[in-house]
Amino acid sequence: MPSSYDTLRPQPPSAQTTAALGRRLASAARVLIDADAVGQLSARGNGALADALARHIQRSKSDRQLWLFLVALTASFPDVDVFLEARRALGVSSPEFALSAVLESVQQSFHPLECLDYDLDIVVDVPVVDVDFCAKYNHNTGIQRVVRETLSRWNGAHELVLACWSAGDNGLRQLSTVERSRVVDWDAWKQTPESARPAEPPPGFRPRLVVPYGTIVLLPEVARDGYWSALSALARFSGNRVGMIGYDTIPIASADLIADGESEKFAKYLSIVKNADRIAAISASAAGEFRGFARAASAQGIPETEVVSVPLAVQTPARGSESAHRSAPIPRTGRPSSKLVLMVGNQEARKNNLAVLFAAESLWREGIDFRVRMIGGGKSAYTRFVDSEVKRLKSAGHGVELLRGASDDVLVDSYAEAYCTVFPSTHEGFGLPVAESLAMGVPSITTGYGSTLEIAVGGGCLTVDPRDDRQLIDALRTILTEPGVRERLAGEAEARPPRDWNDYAADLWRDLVEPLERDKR
Amino acid sequence: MPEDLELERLQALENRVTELEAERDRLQGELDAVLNRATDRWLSAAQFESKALAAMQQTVSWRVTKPLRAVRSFQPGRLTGRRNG
Repeated sequence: MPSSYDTLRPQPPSAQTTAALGRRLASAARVLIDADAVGQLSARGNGALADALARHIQRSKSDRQLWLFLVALTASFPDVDVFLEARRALGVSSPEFALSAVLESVQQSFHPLECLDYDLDIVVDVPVVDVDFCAKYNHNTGIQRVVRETLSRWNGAHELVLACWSAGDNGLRQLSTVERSRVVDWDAWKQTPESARPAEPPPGFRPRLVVPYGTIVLLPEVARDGYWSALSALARFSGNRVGMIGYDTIPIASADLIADGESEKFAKYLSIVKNADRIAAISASAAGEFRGFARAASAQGIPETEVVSVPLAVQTPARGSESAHRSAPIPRTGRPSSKLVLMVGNQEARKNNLAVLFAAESLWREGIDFRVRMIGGGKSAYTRFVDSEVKRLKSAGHGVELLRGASDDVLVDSYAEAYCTVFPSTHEGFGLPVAESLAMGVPSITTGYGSTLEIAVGGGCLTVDPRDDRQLIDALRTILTEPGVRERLAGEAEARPPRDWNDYAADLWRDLVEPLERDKR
Repeated sequence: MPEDLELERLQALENRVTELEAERDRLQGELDAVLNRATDRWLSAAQFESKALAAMQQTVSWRVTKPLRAVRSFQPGRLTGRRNG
């Protein structure tokens, strides 16, 4: 029969892969057993060294040691299943079969191991920070801005190891210089024209795995699905202290307003949260949500995760790379001289875009002259309703501008041009658009509970119940028709005590990292 | 001479110890060879699995059926096959 396809056949491991395994095992052995014995054991071969480690861990019954051994063996952070399988296998095997018990349990995991050629660095004395998304992608909205603003300030001020996930999502690895720039030097990175940006990955880049052991692991991003089981295992078994930034629990607490599939993913993410040691939530309101979840999880006999509140900065958004070039003109409708009501943020049900359009139409019908501009994208399941309403209102002659994929410059120019902003979200972790609006001296109409109320009490806002369209109409009418109110609110916004990203980064280090350092196991 | 006999006995014992040590090292070498072979086999299998999976994921049939798998991932109550939580 003619052969149409190349057939893959198992081959002996390459010398490179075998040598890398030997170096990884030796690195782990120097931490786990008598360092003087490592050279002798290494000389006898990888199997002999792995056997000595397996027997040692079988005697010590130490979870953290088993976790490190599995990482060194597989060049992969074990997920919960693999770890428990290996621990049970060691528990019932005789010492001479300890290694084969571990190898078999790893083999049954069906998890592709794509980093078997990697070396590893075991980090024992400084925090390791997982900045996967910010390192790999140029996207820069809410969470990414928090991470980049924070890490750019921590970098140089504190000793840290930044890491992202390796090929096959097997484990944390070093960043390339480009990836590092994207995290700690974002302002310079975004000013670099795309044509001048270096190739990725850089030629010859051979990352090493970053393996935290007995230290602190910080998760400032919301880990994407695919990482949750390995991170849960890390938090449960590795002996590292895990600290996270808690943004919100919207996909669970407001599941009725969230796209299909998002709630299930977030529920998996919460498995890291319940095993973490400390959460720094971005508002008192978000802290309440995480504390509630931690209490619920304590019914499983898990030590309750400590939750503190470290509110985000209230700062003007930065301009983007277009400053050096030309921005695309903003498509305008309505009379240019009329007052601009600005709404910034993703377009989704909980943000209440349709309520804002309804309030605007009601006031246009009363004869009040103003324009509405909405900046932000979203999923078509919701944006199609927004699009349809905007189209209808435009054809009726009303001034509505819808900007999707707008640049940072357009955002800043829009805040500067705005008469007021409106942000009647039904559920927020913080409410960055309200904070940005106030930082630019622009009054805001926002939700009178939760995190946006925490911002609003500092002045510059009218608050409403976002589920009551009448309150939204009244507030918008007041601000548009009573210049004294707008002037008073703008004055309050200007007078707010500044809280910038330097303050946030310093507070986060003090309230998240320092307590973890004190409690290191 | 009793002293000569004692020396001979000691020499014989030393020779025996050397023999036993050599035997021990030989057996240890055999055991190490078994352990090294087992580790190499595991490494070979792990590497093969990753390559085989990558090769399968490059096939046309895998790529054209990607939307079906995406739809399936949204099926409520779909079993994930995980054993531990």
